[in-house]
Amino acid sequence: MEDQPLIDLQGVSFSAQNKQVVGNVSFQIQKGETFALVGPSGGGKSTVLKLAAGLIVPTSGVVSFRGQDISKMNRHQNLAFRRETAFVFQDSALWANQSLRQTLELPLKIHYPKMSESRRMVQIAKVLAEVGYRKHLDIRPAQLSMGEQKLVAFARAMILEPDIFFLDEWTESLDEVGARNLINIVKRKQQEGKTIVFVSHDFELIRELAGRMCMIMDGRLSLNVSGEEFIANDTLARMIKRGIAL
Amino acid sequence: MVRSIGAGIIQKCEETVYVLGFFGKTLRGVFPFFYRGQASWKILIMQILFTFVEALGISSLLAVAIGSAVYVVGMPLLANFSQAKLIYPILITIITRELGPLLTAFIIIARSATAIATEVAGMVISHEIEAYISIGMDPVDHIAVPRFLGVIISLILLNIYFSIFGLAGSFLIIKVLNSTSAGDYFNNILQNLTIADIFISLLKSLVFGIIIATIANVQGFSVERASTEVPQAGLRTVGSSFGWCILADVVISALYYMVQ
Repeated sequence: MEDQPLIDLQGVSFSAQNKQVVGNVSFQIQKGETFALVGPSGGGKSTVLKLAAGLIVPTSGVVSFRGQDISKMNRHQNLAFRRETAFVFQDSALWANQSLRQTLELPLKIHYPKMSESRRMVQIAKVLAEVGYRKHLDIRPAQLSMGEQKLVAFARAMILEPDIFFLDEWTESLDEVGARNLINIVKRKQQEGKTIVFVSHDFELIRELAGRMCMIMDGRLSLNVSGEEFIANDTLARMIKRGIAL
Repeated sequence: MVRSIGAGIIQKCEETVYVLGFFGKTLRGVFPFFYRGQASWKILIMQILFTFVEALGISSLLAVAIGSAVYVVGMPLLANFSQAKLIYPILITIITRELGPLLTAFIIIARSATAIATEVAGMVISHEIEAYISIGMDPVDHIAVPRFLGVIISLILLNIYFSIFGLAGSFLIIKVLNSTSAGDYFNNILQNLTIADIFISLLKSLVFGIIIATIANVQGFSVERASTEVPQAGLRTVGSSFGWCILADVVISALYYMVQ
């Protein structure tokens, strides 16, 4: 059981509108690993990330979490899985009709319905301090800048103290200071032994963080290497950089 | 050509199976909603506010207009045949049993069904639905069920209001035209109103509510990625809801008259 991967994709394909977006992708993610999905735009990286996180169901193949098929989990198993995982969307995906307070309270109400309001507020204050958000909470997401929305999205992802983070183009559209702030949060999570799976176009970010990386091109897995191999092999790095820049 | 007809039929069958499956999943979520749906209660209340309370004005106007028109047009004709008393069962048939449920359904299709479909479609496009899934919330339980219940409850309440207001409000117009006393008018209305009229009226509201809410939710959830799909979802909701409500109305009315 020690060697059992945390997340295991076996021959996973996904089609939308009669078009194959992801074809026969297989890889495994181990506990505590920082795993990068790279590749050209429109290549299917975000779809693979969502498949790995169980947000969409594969057309064929299996995505397992600790050996259990995610698509076949019952309500209680699904809740336990969701408590351990968190997803940060490229466009933050904050709920437009809810205040930030409601946004951060909702996961706690779902997973810990008996938690008192004062304890919920303590938990919310804790994650907001961690991400560095200092504005009012009784406002809607539309009143925030992109960077602030990203911070709240990170806070929502961290509110249940999950062990696995799925991050989709998480530094996109942020200024340097905002991006560095989020990178530091992710580094702290790495040090805490959390599993990080992320999609990025940022070559330096991948070099800085990734313990292993997969390249997805045209919906297919074209490369699966360790971080050391990636850093040591300049030709490989150049090749990947060209792939990313396609 | 045969191939394209066959493909069209297969696609329609698949869509029907999907809609029935969605309806089944929504129904399964109704009972649990009442004991674990605390987070979604606000959506239900807002849905009733938007679909019922905010539609009272237009419903009042329509109800009084139709009630008065039936009376103004029908009374002289019936009086010519010495059948003036028949105006009361005609008013009840038109306002309570036939037009009331259908017109309130049309009001809700035009106002709320399009709003639900475009709102849900917008949530799909902006990944808000996936964000719900990511925290362990079933989007059907959290998004579709409160809207489903809200539309049904609102349609039933709006239909009751339409009937009461149509029958009572039109009396004010009638009073201007002739000397019928309030006592006579309401006595005649109550004498002609049967349990069957009320039952059929409520049954139609229930069925129309189910149809409208299911179609609006299904169309909202069926968009995939482009923002241009959002208005299309609204348009498809209006077309399908009108069609299915009229069909259901014909079937229920036909069954009622067959049993009668």
